[in-house]
Amino acid sequence: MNQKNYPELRAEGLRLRYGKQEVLHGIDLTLRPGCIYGLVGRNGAGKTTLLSCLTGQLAVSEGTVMCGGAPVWENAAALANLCFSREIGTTLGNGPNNLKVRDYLEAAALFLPHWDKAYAARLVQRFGLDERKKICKLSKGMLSMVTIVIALASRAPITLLDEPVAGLDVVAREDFYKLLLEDYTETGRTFVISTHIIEEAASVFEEVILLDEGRIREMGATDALVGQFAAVSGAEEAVDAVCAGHTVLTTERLGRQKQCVVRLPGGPGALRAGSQVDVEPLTLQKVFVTLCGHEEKGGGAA
Amino acid sequence: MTGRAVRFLLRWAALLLGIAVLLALVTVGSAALLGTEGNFLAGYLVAFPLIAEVLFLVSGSSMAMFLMRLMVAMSCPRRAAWAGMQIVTWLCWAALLAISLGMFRMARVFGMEMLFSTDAVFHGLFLALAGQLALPVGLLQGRRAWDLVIAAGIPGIALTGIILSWLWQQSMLPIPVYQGIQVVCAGAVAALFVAGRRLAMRLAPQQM
Repeated sequence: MNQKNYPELRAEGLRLRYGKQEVLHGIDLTLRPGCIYGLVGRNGAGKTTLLSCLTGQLAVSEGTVMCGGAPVWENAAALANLCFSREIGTTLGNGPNNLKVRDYLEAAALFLPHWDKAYAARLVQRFGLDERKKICKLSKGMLSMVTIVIALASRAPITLLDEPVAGLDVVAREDFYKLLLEDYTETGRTFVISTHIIEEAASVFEEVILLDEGRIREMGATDALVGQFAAVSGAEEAVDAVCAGHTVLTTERLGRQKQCVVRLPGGPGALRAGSQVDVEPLTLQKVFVTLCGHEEKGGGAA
Repeated sequence: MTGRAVRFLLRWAALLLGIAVLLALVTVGSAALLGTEGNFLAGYLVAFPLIAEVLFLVSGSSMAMFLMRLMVAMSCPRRAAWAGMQIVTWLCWAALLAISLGMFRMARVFGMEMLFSTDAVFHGLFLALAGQLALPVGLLQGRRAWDLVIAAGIPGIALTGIILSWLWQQSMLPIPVYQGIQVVCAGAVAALFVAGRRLAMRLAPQQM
């Protein structure tokens, strides 16, 4: 991996208010160089807002965002390290977006200082995009492809993508993750990817940021985080006995059978050995649903 | 970055000025070829300043609406994007003013009736007002109340310009009033400049 002296991105005490409503509640976050972060959260959790604040596209109400030790807000030198590739609108004001794909690529080439024109051309060809096509005529998948081309060809040391795979079919999604990993292996730059399709992306994320109602609920290495959770199922008494003393996050009953999701900071080995229960690891998606589902939390045998 | 913003916006400016030059050429050409007698278009050659103001308002507000957001979404600082937008706006202002004054001169050569004041300062101020109104209105576009401002602002400025010009031509406007209007106009340009900058600094793109 060709990891250069890339900067880190740090947010401290980040708060954002719209009038009296606070949507980000004191976020502290450090994105170290050379890592792929996954940003997951429910609709309205504040993912896009957080990414906008981190890239200086939205003024924060409180707190600081620093890139390589310099504030991001209105700082051309710090902004040069950042690319936030977000949704492209098919409408402009009251009319259609008549700009062409080429116009977006030319704008990106002009404003993103690390822009790799040859790479952008290769990506356009690979995705089968027609540069002369108007944005308003593109399908949702093609719009996502344009945002991906901008993000990858930006070669920005810290590249943030907001739901890049929305609208892409499964083949294109696989292709995107392959391209992302190729680029990451080559450059070692930092990626932050927000997505709702968690299961597919889980293996790509080195670290995961779980955002819930404007707060970071969890942040850490994906494997380590997922490894802390287990689903314990079996007869009710046996499950209660095994889970006793542990943090039970959710409980489901089916007749005399019971299933609990428990959090075990020491991993599943912390459960009593030889118990008459099934212990299964959770996937990242299940962990996400457990932590952010806001349903039947904390019930059971804790 | 301001230089890049100017480069980016010049394409929009070229389009605006292209349309303006085309309209001017069609009008002048029509007057030269067909004469001014009974030729509606040539007879109202002097309506060009009105066209310039409307063109400036409509295209300026559209430019501010999406190009400014696109620049900020592409990691361009707001200050640079705003400075670029102002530079291009004033370049357009100068070009449109020059074209308009050229048209006035042409009108005199062809002996056409004058609808507008030939006062460069007066016309320049109204053109500046159109340019400076376009930017904040563009930044606020999409909000219902401000859409009304756009709808009212364009004919409002244009009609005020026509009425005041006509009153001046007819010597119905006393000089102190005429000068007072110019001062108010200059104040409005400055106020709109400040308001536009404040809005630009608060701009938060929702999309690219």
